[in-house]
Amino acid sequence: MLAYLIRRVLIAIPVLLGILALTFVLVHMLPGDPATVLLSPEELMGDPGLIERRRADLGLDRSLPVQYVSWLGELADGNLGISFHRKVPVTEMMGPRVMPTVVLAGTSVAIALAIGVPVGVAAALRQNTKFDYLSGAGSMLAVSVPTFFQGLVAIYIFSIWLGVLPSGGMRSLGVEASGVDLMRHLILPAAVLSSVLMGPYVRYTRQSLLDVLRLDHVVTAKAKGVPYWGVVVKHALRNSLIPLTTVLAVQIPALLAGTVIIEYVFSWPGMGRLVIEGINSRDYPVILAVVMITAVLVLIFNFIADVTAALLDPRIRL
Amino acid sequence: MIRDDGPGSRLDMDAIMEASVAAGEVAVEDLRDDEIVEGPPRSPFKIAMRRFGKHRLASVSVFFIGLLGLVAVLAPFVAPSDPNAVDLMALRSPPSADHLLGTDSSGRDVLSRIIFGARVSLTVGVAAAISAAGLGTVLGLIAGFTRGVVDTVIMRIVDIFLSFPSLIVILLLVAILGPSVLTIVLVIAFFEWPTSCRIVRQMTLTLREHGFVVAARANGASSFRIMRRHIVSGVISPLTVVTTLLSAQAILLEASLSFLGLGVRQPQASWGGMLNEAQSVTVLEGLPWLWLPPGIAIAATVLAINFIGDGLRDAFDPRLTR
Amino acid sequence: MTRVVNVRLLALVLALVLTAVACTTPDPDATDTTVASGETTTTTEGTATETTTTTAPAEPEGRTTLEVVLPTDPVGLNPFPETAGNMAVVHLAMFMPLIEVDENQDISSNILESWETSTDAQTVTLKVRPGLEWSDGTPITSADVSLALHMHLNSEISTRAGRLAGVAGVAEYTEGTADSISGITVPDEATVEIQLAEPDAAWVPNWASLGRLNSMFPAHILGDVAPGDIPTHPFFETFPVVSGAYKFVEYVPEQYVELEANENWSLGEPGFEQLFFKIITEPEARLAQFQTGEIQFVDGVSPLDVERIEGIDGVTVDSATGLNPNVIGMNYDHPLLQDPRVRQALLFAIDREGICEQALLGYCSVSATNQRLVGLDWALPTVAEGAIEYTYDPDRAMELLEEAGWDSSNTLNLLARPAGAGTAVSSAISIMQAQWAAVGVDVEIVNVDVPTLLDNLGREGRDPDSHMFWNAGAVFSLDPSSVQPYALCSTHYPNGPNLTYYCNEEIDGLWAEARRTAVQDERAEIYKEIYLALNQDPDYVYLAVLDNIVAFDSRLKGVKPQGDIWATYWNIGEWTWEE
Repeated sequence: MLAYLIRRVLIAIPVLLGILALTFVLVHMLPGDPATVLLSPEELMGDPGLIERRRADLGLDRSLPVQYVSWLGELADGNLGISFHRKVPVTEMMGPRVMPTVVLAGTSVAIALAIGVPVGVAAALRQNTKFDYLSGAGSMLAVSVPTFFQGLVAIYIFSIWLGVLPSGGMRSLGVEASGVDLMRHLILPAAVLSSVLMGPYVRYTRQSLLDVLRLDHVVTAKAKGVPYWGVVVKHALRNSLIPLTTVLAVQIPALLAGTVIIEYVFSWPGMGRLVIEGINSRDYPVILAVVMITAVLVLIFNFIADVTAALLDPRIRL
Repeated sequence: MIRDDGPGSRLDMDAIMEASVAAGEVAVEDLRDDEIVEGPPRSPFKIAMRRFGKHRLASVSVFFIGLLGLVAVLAPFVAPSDPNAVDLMALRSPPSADHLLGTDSSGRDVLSRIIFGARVSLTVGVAAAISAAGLGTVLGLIAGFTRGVVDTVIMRIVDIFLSFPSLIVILLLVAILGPSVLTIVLVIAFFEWPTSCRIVRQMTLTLREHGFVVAARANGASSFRIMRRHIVSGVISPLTVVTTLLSAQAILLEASLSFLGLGVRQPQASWGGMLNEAQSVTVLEGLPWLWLPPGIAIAATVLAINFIGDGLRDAFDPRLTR
Repeated sequence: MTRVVNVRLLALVLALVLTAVACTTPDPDATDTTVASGETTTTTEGTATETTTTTAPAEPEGRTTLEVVLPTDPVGLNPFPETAGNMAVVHLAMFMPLIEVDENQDISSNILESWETSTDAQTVTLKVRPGLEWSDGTPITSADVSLALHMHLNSEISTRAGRLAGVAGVAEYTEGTADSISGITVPDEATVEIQLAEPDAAWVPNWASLGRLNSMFPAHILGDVAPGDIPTHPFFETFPVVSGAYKFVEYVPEQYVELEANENWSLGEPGFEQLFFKIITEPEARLAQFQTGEIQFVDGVSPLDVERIEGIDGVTVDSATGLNPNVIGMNYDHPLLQDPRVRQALLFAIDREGICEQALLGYCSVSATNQRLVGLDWALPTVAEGAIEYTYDPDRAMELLEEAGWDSSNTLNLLARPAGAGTAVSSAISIMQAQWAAVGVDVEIVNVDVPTLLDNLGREGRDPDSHMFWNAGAVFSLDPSSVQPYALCSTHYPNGPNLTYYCNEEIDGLWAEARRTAVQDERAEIYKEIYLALNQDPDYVYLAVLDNIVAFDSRLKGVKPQGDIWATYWNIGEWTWEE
């Protein structure tokens, strides 16, 4: 087990380095000069040295490899550099941004699982009934409508038409932050994001439950007279959840990407909006930091999924 | 935007590692059936197609997509007017005899733009999915056949791409290349090849061990012939499924990029772009002809493609009893 | 104060209880102490909001918190970085600008009593209003004014120094060879004298046009700080002392800026105890939050949304004639565009009036003679004086193209980000594209972001395929000379804001001459000459000036919308709430 875990971690390191190197190159290929982007042209008047001074301030006057190595060096010290745009350490900026994204993504996954798995189970148990077909078509429809469009419609219905939920942001102003308030703000974005995730959960749960129900030991258990629900819960469900962990892991990068759009639509103060702003203002350290943090999150979740799968399935040798 | 990579229905280690390969695994089982292993495959594809035909939703979807394709190809003849012709005196006018689906904020005929928009969506979907699958197939075959260092390197690259927060990097790439149909196709191909690469590699590795390949090799068949004869026919079914689902994703991605203002060039009509213009409550509330047609077009097309993918997957999976 | 706090606490508890009881959670503002009955939310009857508000009579006097929109993140509130433009919107509430522009586009100031330019146009005398105080009780004097000028004129720390150029002795001060700017003297507590290096009749208006950027900070705190250390001084983190109606409490990046009333404000009592600038970058989210009552004031409303917003009960929509023209720059020295007749044809080919009326629903104004200046008719040539009116005339456009030998196989690239420009402008661009195509000019819209655009326009990176570009212009309403930096041979980007690379040395000389001419009638003649040249040899299409449309809860009083989209909050200290 330990050896397996160590091997997994060791594999992750070159993957992370590869992501960082590729992103670094891409970021520097962006057209536009970070030194001039933030200056309005009017401000350039009468000070010809300004651009050069700013390039030097930002460390952009050095060669690319030097910049990369120095960035990696800082990274090793736990430093993500200084934002070009906001002039504050990126770690300071990222701090308050990581949690909202994780909360949004986590809640969405939780909602999707809480609804998707039972629906999947029910669909499998009532195979080829109306419910089965409806849940199949419904979950398919949910992944077929662009998320931003679902978001707009949700805002229209729940915030503007019914007026029951806030349309954006993470908290009401002028009041103490509270769990209730956060939840009210979380409902719409999390619901929209989860509707996209839910479809696959329904399908995978249904399919793998059907598969497992056909397996010998389940059939045997049934023949032995173990009550139906006992079979389903004890033997079948457990096994059928294993592929689901994999699905969860595979979805993580896409999930974090999905939050970019949702954060944009619902003014959710997470990393997604930060990265869009970072690209628009050519804020290299911020873009790199967001990519790095998301990549690390992906790797961590993949790792957790692997371990969970291993724990759930005794046949996997670690 | 969310990936949907096929069912993970097998319980062995490989399936756990690669849920995305699941569809492929199923096909291997096809090949393991005695009737197939005995000689050259007696076309499991035909069997699958027959099963596919029984999937009602999928069949309807094929018809729908076919029709859409026809409309897209014949757009100049089908569309009631020039999709880019503006009419300053008829901005945002509701559906009428002149404009069956009304006009947009520039006075352009919505119906004509929907028809021409089908070209963009289908082009993006098909081109992106095929390039991604093509790239993945080539690299997967290389990895599976050479093994060793090349395999390791390719698979690490696959790991890198699968761990990438793809939308963020896609935004970067679009900023570098500039938004256009070609850019969208390229970035999707660039980020979606690893799925098919894994499938093809997995398939190649599995098939290599199979009796018929070993036998063929013992009989002196060249690698190329083996590849063509056995492996290509083995990977084609899972690849079809993946490519189909990829094209649905590509269409959604085009819509999302349009939403962020990074879609195709104006005045070219695209469904995502049309929906982007409709992203206001005023439009949602009062001008439904601006968002319903492109919204329905995207949803219906993506839904149809997903149904086809679903149907194909079921057709290739002998254990399914739907 | 204690009573208020208690009342608020009560309201909070009440609201929370109600929230918990009512399973359907109500409007977020329900937990806000300040909710009053009949929220702006309501498009349907019987929403949860109303239930809550009517049963929570905690704040009978009305709202004590105001939430307004901030469309761009200020990126910190330090006034020195290049992003200061966004920050300064918040500063309008905290620091009264030294000199600014009122809603009628007249120069105004809460700090200064008078600003006289001498008849030789070389000396400016400022008089500070008596009786003004900082929030800590220290009187506001000429020393504060002098410090502000020293800060704004120092190009080492200020990004507006270039635009304020012309004061004597600035170079010595910036280089460090002088302790102060010799051209700025303080004869007494109430007087500041500014000596200009050369006569410049336009110095004061150009200074005032910086408006919100002219903040003044307390000399009794910053007076002894070395100029180079000022930007990093802790004062700019907490702003312990202010001159405006509101004091700084907290800035949460990309979320909000929180301010509280300055009880010691010299000009009266602020209308609210708390003021929030909510940072909402997405236009649609802004309107949605306004509709749900999460904010009570929103600006930059799209013309397309006016009718719907106006239809909401208890909402007032107001607008001011805009000052920021939407422009299409034409690459002046590009071979394809060198012939002025081609550029004229591009103007004749498009129906700017029609676009304004139809696509922008009339919430805009169009300069028939295609001038950047807004409102300063005394300086502009009339048709009788030889100016061309570029009214929609496709035939004339084709004629001119023919004369110029235009090859219709050419394609012109227009660099723009239509989606970022808002739907109204985006459709305007599509319409123009179609109208240009109709006269045989193929225009391709290339979607680029601002950094890429600037990169393509810079001297070295200047892309030979960048023929035209879309831009939202700055404000040009106070003095005709404000256009000068955009038309000089020496200010080609990146040395200044001349993005089209227009260059006419004769005109360069005229600009300088006009500024030296103190008598307005004589200056007018020179300006007319300049603007006639710009009219006949255009480097920009001045599409239309969008009105600044604002919407607010009708109980909010004192709002005076400004044409300058950045100055919406110029009088926010006077805003109050009336049931």
